[in-house]
Amino acid sequence: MDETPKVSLVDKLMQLDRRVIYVFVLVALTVPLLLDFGMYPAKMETAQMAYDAVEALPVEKGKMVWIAMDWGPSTQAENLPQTEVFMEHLMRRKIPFCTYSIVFDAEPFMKSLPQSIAGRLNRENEEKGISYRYEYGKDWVNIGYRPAYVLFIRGLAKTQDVAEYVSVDARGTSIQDIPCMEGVKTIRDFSMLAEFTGLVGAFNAWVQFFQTSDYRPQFVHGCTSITIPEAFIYLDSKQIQGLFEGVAGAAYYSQLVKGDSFDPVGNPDSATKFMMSLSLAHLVIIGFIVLGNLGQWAQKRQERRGGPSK
Amino acid sequence: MLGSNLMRRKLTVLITFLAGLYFFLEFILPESIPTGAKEGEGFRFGKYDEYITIGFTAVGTMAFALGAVSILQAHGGNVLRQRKRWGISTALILSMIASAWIGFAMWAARAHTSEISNPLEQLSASQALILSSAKTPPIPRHMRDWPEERVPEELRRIATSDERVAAQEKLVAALRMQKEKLEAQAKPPYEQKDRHPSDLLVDALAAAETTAASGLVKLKANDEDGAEAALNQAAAQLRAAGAAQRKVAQLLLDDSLSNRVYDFMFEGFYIALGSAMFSLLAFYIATAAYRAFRLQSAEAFLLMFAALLVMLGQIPVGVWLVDNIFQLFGVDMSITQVRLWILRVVNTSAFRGIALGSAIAGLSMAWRVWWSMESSALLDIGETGEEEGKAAGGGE
Repeated sequence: MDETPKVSLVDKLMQLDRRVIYVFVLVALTVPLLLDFGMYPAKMETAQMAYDAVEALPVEKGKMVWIAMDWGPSTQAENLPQTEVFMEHLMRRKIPFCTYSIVFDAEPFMKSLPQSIAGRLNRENEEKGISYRYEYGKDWVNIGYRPAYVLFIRGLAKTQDVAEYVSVDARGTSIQDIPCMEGVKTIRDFSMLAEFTGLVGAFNAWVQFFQTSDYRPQFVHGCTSITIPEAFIYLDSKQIQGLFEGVAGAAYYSQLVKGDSFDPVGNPDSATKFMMSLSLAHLVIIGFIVLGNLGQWAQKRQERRGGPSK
Repeated sequence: MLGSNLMRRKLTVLITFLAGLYFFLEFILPESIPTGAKEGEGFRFGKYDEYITIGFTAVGTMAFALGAVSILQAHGGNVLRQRKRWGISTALILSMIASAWIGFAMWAARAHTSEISNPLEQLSASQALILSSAKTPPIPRHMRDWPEERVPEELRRIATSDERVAAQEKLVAALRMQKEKLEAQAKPPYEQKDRHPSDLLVDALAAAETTAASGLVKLKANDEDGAEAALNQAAAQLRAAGAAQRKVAQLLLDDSLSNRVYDFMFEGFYIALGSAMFSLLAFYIATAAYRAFRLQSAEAFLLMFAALLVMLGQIPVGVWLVDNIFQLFGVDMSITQVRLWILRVVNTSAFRGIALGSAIAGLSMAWRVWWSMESSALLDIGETGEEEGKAAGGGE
């Protein structure tokens, strides 16, 4: 009678099918999104710095914020919540902004994202009986995608007439006909640059070229988790005044913007939901790293004792 | 053949060198170089920088056309000769054609949208001209720099009373026609609770027509003060009508077939597929972490320990867990502080070294490209004719 070789638990652990790992990751990623499950985010000092920088901006006619949405579908899980909470903060402070991108696949987001925030804030205003309505042209303008980004940024920083340089918005309307661009002439009229991307090269181009010999706007940066280490060198040199560290930074920033109305448990926003989803995925990865090392340790121990091994 | 290729090669090297030289000098030279003239009137090297930049941007844009040609060459060949996986090539070409088609359709629709409010803007400008035509100078401040095709020479002088009346009569008639035309315009869907922009537009036009007509009556009666007030008000009402018309045009664009197809293709396909591609990384990272992140050495232990601290310090569950453990041992500290210290001190110093090293390497590379010291496919083209053939059939 044949006897099938006995496979120990340790061996089974070391030969774990990758599909089992995939299922764990899938569950960790989807459960918070499907069940609207959220927690208060971890404190992010760098997001606090970005928030303080925006709070310190002047609210005056002819001054606005330039938002570079240099991201597309591939990094939207992290860059979208960052951009969303930042725009919401600007809108709540009534600071107009321009959206622009060096990547063509940001086009649909530049069109829909401010519109959806404005819709939400307009509904909120209606409920509170506030007559102010957020509108395209008054509160924001979409410049759209432009090619040859380094040259465009360089030219934008130097031009003496932004309206002439940019010419038209993404809808084809002349910049001169857009109310919030009235009085915006040079780079000095952009009180802040906010750049959201997962591309290190794109971020570097803004750091290098969006300045003149005697003026550099306040600069906040939103990066994906993978580029956080590099972004810290610019924070340390004070070339950026604040940082959104992945979706965790966006979630903490959202808490700062929403204040008392922030309810991650009962009514989590997109930043909190994405943050929870990625947090659980992080835990799963940590768990598997620990498990893999325990398995290896047990296997070596088994080998030393002369037990079954692979 | 060889001569023309050599010429092309020399030309490429020369243009590369001159372009590099221009941007190098533009960067290092001061904004204005004194040449003995008064301060601020010296030689400006970057005087035409804006135009040069736009020129280079246009050249950069041509890369898109080259990309399209390259795809058609490579994948078109696969389809025509029905090579292996020709179905995928067909899908690629069809997707490219569909994207280009909808892109052009949207471009045309946007161009139409941007022009839709032109008649109202022209009426508004005409009203401002009639208003100021009796003054010195007769052109409103914001129109003085406009080209002659927008403000003809005959309008740049003070007008007689009869000329002003005739011009205002024409404007009122044009305004009436425009109002009738826009009243018949389709009313696009509008989800907001406030008044529909189409209604605002019609109201603004009706008000402008009434005010312009009353201004005409006052002009005929030589009531200059009354006419000025009325024409001023009519110009403002026309500006408001222009803004409402832009909103209506945008709503019409949003509701158009081109826009719906564009949204469907981008949001329905492109965004979903792009996100899905990148999301796969999460699964690979988890598997790779399980199989490869093993404590084989002291360095690996250090790396893993730092990674664990950074990861735990940015997720709520990790912060709650570790902070409670810290409290249990009487440590007055949060994991978020530990994480920040690792990133700000340890990581920053190490990464800055890496960044400086790669920047120096980049400088060296830039120097080689500037002087065309890098042997590139472009420069090797046509030496024997062989490379050219390869380039044309790329991907085969």
